[in-house]
Amino acid sequence: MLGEFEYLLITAAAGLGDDAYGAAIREEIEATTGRKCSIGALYTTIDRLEGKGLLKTWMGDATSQRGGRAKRMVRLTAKGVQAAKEFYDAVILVSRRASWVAKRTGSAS
Amino acid sequence: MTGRQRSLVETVAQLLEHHEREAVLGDLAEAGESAWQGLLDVLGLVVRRESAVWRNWRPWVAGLGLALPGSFLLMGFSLSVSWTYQHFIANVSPENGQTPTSQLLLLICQIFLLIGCSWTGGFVMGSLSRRTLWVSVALCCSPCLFCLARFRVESLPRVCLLLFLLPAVWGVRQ
Repeated sequence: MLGEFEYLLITAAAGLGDDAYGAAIREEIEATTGRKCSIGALYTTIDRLEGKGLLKTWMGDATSQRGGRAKRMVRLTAKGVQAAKEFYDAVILVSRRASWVAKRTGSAS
Repeated sequence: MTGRQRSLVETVAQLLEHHEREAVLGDLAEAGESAWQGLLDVLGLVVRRESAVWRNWRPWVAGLGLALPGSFLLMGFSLSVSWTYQHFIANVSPENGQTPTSQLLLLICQIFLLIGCSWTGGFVMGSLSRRTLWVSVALCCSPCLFCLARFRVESLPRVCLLLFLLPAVWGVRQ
């Protein structure tokens, strides 16, 4: 089962699609959660997920915006998609009777 | 980031592997982070990488199990070889130049054994954990410096203690 930050990273990478790389994923996580995402946490988690076979990374092109430095591109594997789906389903399932979910569902209906 | 601040961050980033350094420095440039924040980010990653390495048993065995006790043993062995050599030289007859065969054999055996043990020690130390090699080297060197400072044998030069170093370095480089 994925950890919370692992799920955030995978979901951000999935949303970015072909444009998923370190800085973009970091920006996406910070913008979505409102929490600071350190480069250390980001890259160690990327390595861990790659080690588990949930992600694939490779060095991309260098751009002048990055001072001529290459990007570390990220792509989800089928196993990664499956793990994220399982995590999401588990969160939805375990949350179904929580008061804040019931309130939200009630107000929506 | 000024030129000096950037070079400071780049210097610290040298502790990362090449590809990772490229990606991290690029990310910092793209995000336009301050020098201080960039430095903290790079240091944070370095600390995480190093701590991940030390969660494994290999660097502990290489450093504390091999380098530290091994350097004491090999210094003693180096000293023993030096004494055998000294006895051998003293027993060579100055008139006819005859050499005591048993002492010559003992000396050759000891030299080969010292080279073999040192090379093997260095090789195993390097193979066990190359990323923490600097720690293993420091753990090997500290007893050497300690013993060099306290070496009081007048008939032998201090360098006799360190005969094992060359084959050990050779082993590490394999």
